[in-house]
Amino acid sequence: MKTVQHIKWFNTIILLIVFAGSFIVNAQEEKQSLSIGLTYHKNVGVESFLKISTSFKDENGWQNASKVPFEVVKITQEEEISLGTGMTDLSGRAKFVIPTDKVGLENSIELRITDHPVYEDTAEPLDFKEVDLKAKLNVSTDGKQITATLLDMEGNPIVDEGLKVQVKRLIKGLPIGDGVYYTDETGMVVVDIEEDYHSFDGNLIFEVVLEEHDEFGTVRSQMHADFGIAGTDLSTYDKRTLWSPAGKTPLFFLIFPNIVLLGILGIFVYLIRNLIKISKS
Amino acid sequence: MSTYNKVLNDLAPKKFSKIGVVWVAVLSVVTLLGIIAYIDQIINGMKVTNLRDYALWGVYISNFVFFVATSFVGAITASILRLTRRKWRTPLVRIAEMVSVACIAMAGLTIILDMGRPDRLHYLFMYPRLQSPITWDVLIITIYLTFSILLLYIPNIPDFALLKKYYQHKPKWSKFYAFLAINWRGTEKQKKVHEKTIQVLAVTMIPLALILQTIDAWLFSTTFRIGWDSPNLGAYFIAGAFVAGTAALIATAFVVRKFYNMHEYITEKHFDKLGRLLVLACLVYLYFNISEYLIPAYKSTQGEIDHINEMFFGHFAWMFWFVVGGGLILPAILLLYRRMRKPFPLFIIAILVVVTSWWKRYVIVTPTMLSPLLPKQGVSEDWSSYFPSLHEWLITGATLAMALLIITILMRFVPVIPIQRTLDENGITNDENDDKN
Amino acid sequence: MEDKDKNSRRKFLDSSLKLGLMGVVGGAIATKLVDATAQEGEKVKVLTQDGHVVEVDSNTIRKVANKHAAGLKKEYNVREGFPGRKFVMVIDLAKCKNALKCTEACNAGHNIMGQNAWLKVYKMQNNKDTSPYWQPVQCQHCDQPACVTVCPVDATFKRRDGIVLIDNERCIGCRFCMAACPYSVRVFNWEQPNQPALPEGYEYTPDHAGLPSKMGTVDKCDFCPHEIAKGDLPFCVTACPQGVFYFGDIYEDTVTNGEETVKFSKLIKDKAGYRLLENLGTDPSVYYLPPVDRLVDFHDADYNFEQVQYISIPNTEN
Repeated sequence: MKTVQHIKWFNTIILLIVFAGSFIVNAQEEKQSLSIGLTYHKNVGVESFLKISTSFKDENGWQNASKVPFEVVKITQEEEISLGTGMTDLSGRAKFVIPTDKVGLENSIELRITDHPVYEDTAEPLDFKEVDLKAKLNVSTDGKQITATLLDMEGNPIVDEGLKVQVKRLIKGLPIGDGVYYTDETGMVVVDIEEDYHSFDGNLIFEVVLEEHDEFGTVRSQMHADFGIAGTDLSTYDKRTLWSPAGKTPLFFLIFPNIVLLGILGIFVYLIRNLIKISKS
Repeated sequence: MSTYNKVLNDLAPKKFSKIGVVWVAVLSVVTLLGIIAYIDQIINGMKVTNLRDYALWGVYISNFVFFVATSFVGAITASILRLTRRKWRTPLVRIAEMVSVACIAMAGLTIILDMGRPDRLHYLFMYPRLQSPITWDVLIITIYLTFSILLLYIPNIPDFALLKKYYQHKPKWSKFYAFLAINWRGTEKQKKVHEKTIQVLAVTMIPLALILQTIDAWLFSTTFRIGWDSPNLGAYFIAGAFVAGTAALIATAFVVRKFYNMHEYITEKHFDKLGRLLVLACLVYLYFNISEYLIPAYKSTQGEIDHINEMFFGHFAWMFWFVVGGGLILPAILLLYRRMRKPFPLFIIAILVVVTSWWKRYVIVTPTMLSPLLPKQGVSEDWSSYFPSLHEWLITGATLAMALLIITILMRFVPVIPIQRTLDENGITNDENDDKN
Repeated sequence: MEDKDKNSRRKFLDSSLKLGLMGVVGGAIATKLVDATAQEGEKVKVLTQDGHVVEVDSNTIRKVANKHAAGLKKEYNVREGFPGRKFVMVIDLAKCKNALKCTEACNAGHNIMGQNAWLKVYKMQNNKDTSPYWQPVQCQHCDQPACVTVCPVDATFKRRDGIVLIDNERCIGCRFCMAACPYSVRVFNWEQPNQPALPEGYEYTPDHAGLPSKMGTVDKCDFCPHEIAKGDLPFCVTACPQGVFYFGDIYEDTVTNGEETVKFSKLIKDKAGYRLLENLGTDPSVYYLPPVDRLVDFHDADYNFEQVQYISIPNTEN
């Protein structure tokens, strides 16, 4: 009797375990783990943003994780403030703009991906500090010069830091002079612009960039100018050429073949008229 | 039997004999095989041909050029011989026109067979670019086809009127011919209008035919390719069309003469004259061939000389010497002898010239495609050479069969020799009318 | 007796009920497991970064609705292109070692199958006494394009930004453009291209050629406008391990290979840049820097060359 009772209890326990197990099996599906690239960028006077890239590794190598929703949270000693949400594009990349009033002197933020059906919950932290990069373009009769100073937020100069001085171009910046200049004891670099630079409309954007700093991220200061050498429109798109679309046929091809065709049509009409004449008479 | 009735009996279209039926059946089978091959090409893509990225134009394009060249024959006989008042052309004009119509129709069809997306054929008419030689080609082929059909039809009107009466015992045929005859009664007024119409048409045909051959040549000479980048090409193609057209006319005339018993109408004299015309054509074409091939061989321009060597001594040598030697030099020499201008020997030579004409177009298209300006690398062996596949041969055969079929069917109801004109030129009138007088 | 019977009956019913319940639950779990493997079994073909066609679970493919490239203005007209730009490429023959990474990347990014590579690396030798060298040749995007001139239906067109594209929805497959191109850079789709599936809702645009390729039409290098729109360099430029390809905008007079960014006019002046088949007057947009002071000895790289080598993506079907 006692053994039977034991068996009974045993059975129920097994049953309960099986029941619980079914839930566990249900809940646990294989989820991909994500690898996240997270960098801080600041365009002085314009915006501050995060560059986000998400990818995962499967048996064929690294793939982009497209259309992944995320949330960016700022963590202070007292609280967590949500800075907003976003979604990566087809290539798994996203640009997340941080409102300027939310950026403090020192920041600790976290990128969170939660409750995604395919990817594991991920949290990527990033710490960055603000820095004061000021760049100025001086145009005078003596020449053109860029001066830039790199100071921390207390006004102390940051010495011997490499700053890239370049012209903003389509994909990568065109270096001016040596390209990278190191700040002196006052945190300053001075670069003479000796060469001419070209652009389609004569407008140029000069940049001083502190690139991928461990503490400060990437900080960019842009200066606009209009002394670029404007190019003439080299395109034949608006002209009538041999290779233009039908709407821009050269006049010769419009006029001459049509005249010939009209003549042939005239002869054709004449022939048919004569046939009608024959049949009528 | 009066001469009048005899002429009518001889020249009126008759039912096909047994041989005729077998001929039509064979042509239909060949056509059907080609259609099946073409359907396969549509479904599986042009991979079924042996065309690849280097030889991207092959036997379809050389067929096209051949058909365009042969359709020149209508302009030769109906226009040039007319305007030079060669009276001996009379029994030949109809045959020439039929060949011309059949060939230009098949040229239009053949170029469609070469398209990768024939389902987008209408784009040629919806989005045409006048700068493109293909647009010019579409225009001239359509125009030439229309005018060729008119040139076949209009001079035939008096004959249709005659046949209307001739077939009175067959009401359906009579009605058919009556419809085509558009009230022709042979009045003075009608004759005047008719004569003027034919004159205008004949004069128009010459520039049209010349433009057709020239635009065909410009499809090639507007490219940078070695062998095609020649200012000579327009005249070269016109001369080539002269040869191909004349030879096709001789061959067809011989067959018609034999199977329709037209020995009285197409006499040995006609063949003699045609033979001399062929000699002239071959000599003119030979002149253009010399400037096209010997002059580049004289220099040693890189690229050009490789192409010439391929044709003279290399991979294409047997083809080249066959078409130039057997198709031009040999006929030109042989036909200088009167004995060779007798119907049967002339027929053999004409067949040889037609066949070599076809191969000549192949020699124009393929070696150039296999001599691109940059080296042939990075593709497998079968991409760097070309010989037509079974599908291409079947489709080629079908287009040739269809051309012959069109000619044969035309001959079923259009008199192959102008009846009224023959009567007029020989001064034969309708005896019945005379009796009435 | 009856009690015992009742008891045993009850016990029987009891245990059988429990057994049944366990069976049901166990079965449910089992089907769940089986279902998971069945889902994994549903495979879709995709192209990986290095050009292999593989099959992956369909649940790792996200369905997206894509309107060609992101970051373009609404007024962008495919036939006109990027306003205020004219693209130019410089290829430094002194650095090329026939690694063929450019061809691989281009094939992968455009789903190019078989022998149809748009970018080919030729083994060139100007004459028998000079040294052979490797020369990548792709569409030169000529400013006086012979191919555009002869197209009868306006299927290939020259844009304001210098790029020559093909509209595969318009092409009738006459191949006249291929006959006219002196650089032999155009390829034809002789059969139905066995390409990997595209995301659902993806619309074809001439801006991203090859997605998909259509049977019976012509394809060629498109200078990657889809990458430029994202702020990236064309696939070949990024993939080259030697930095052979430079790409940029001629109005900005700047070209970059991803690492070096230099002034275009200075580059071709200092290194004596030239263009291929200049005498034909096609006015190409691709400049070559002569193979002087070679980085790699030609014969060291010769092992890489076979007369009939081509980058082929194997057809996994049939």
